[in-house]
Amino acid sequence: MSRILSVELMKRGIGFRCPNCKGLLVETKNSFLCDECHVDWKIREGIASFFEDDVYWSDKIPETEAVTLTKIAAEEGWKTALHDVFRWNHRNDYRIISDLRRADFRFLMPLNNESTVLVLGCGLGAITVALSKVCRAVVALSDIFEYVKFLDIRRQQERILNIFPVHGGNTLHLPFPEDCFDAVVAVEMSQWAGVAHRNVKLREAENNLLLSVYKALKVGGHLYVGVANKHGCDHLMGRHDHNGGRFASLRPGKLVDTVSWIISGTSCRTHQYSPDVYTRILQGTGFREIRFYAPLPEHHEPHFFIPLDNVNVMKYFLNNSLDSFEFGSPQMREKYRVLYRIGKVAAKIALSLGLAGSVKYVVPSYGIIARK
Amino acid sequence: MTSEIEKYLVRNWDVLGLKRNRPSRFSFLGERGSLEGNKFIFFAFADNDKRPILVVKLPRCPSDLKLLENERDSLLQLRASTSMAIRESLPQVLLLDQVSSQWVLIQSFVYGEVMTPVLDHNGLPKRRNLRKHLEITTPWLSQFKNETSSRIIWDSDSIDEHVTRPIDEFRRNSHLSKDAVGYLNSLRHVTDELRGCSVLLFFQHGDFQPGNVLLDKNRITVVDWDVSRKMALALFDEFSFITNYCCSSAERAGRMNYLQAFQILWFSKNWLSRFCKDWLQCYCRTLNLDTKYVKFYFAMFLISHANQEYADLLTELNRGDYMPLRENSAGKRTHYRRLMKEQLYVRLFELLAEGRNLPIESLELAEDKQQQ
Repeated sequence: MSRILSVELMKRGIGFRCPNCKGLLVETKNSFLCDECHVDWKIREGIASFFEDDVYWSDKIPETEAVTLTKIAAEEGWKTALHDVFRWNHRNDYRIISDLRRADFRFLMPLNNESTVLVLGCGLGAITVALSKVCRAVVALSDIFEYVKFLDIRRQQERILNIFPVHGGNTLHLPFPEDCFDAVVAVEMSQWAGVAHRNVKLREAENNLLLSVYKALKVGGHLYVGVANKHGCDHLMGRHDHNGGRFASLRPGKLVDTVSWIISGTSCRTHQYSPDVYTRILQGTGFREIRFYAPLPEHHEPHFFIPLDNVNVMKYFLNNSLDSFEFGSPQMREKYRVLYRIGKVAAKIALSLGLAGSVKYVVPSYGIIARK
Repeated sequence: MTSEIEKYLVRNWDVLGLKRNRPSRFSFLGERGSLEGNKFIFFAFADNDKRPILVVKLPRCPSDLKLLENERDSLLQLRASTSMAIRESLPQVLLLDQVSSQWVLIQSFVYGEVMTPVLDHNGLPKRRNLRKHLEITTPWLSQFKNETSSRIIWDSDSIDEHVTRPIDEFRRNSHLSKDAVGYLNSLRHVTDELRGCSVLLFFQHGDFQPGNVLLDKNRITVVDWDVSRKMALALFDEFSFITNYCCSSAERAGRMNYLQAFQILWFSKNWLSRFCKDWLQCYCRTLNLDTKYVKFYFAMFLISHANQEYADLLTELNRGDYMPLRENSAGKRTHYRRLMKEQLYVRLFELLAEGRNLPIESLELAEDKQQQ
């Protein structure tokens, strides 16, 4: 991270802390040096890197494409890079990869031009850029260096001054002081905690991440989690999960691990849960006022946010909004065609049997808002 | 944000002037709206109500506030100047105010099902449904237009505002064929012909399409007035309705693309074009419009849409909402071609300029022959 950026970040009340021991960091020419444990955290290509080993992993694009992406972005512009890498090989991702409406969950949270926000797992930056237009500062953290670098290039090309990309995410703590963010956003991130921390138990990794987030939030700050539902109708219909398997929600935990070993050679590190378990985990960390929304059709590209604590809203949605839903593009129609048809039939059945209240258990994903 | 809006609504309930006791709590169903719409919408459910009681619109960016202001001003003006029948078909603006530094437009909720075209196996609307929907829409439209019309003298200023400037903008932003440029020049001759005459201008909804028409039995409500104009040329809303009814629905259903449907509707001889021709002719009579100028209005309608789409595209590209497409994947690296949607109305205009006749002209010729 360039000195100017880190000074700007300091001005906004966010200095770096050692992600191992929480000690103060001293900025040297090419690194941040920990006062206490003396670990030297690198500054890679102008970006602070709090990452312990240099391993590339992503379920979106292979490493070679990620490298190409940053190369083209630097030479010809970020839009050109996205086009060249995603347009033909990842059409669905290309459609939504820079759609600022992916950050529409911001309307559910009390964000304003005084807010500082941390985006965990910032990806290629759609949510980060959207938030930067309404917030004072947005720190974007990702454990994939190429993604952070791409965002840094985009930030420079678009002259966005309040985005601060940081490489990290697989350490015990977040590299930030306590009580410094008004909101933390983790879309699809929490379920990857197990992958980022392979040397600890899955639940321990998840708890560590949540606890770090809790500490980084100011009192009264909000956490938004966008996450898939274990019993989501798409998974029940046989959609591949992140581990490459199907019907994981119908199998007991050990069998899930066994299948994962057969498919990918590792144990399953991307568990999803039901609302009750998510609530228990969040409450266990200390969060309160936990509210569940159903971002439909998915938390990646939400068109609707349905509050799950009021069955009348769900009934209204199933009766009135579902039928008139319009797909924005042919690709989107293709992607959600089957899910939409089955959803419509299921909605009719649920309404006729008085089961609208149970729909919340099978929505594809959740948007969870919790308060510190 | 929902908590803040909830508190605001409960606190300011008396200011809203709704005939109902102050609710104790609200639930919010969020809908993201269209890309061009630039707003996020909440449907607010009070206590245990089964239907929303309010619609809360939030601009995505501070610059989008002008759309909400336009909607408020238009609705207030219409409610003050139109008959009871029209007033009851409009949502009631309750408030435009800041809640925690976020602007919100609060309107009364109007119940109704979105008018949805039913298509036959070819992708064209079914005749019975089209007739039924037009029977409901036409009386409202003609009454609305009659009540909001104003007669002006077609002088240099009005020609400049309604014809010359849109045409100049269209020429500037589009690569037009020779035919199209020639046709644009002929439009100027029509205006010269009308110079000094009195011409009817009408209040224009701006996005009058089935999706913005709500039906409750035979009662009609028209929503989304954010791009409305107080004085505009005749037949814009009417062309917009018919075109959207037939073309957008066919395209959304994946039966044919917009251009094909448009050609079938306006440039071919079939039951649909005959039906629309008859409808237009009757409609012009109710508004005392000279059918001689229908083609002129139609051309201006296409130009106006092309300009609007170009403006939308620029805004979206500048915001990074979506990527432009390259001319081809391998070749030109720095030249983008505009999105199909933006080019669509330019291409439709070119079709018109190539000498394709509107069906209504053929009707006029047939009548002339009969008279002779």
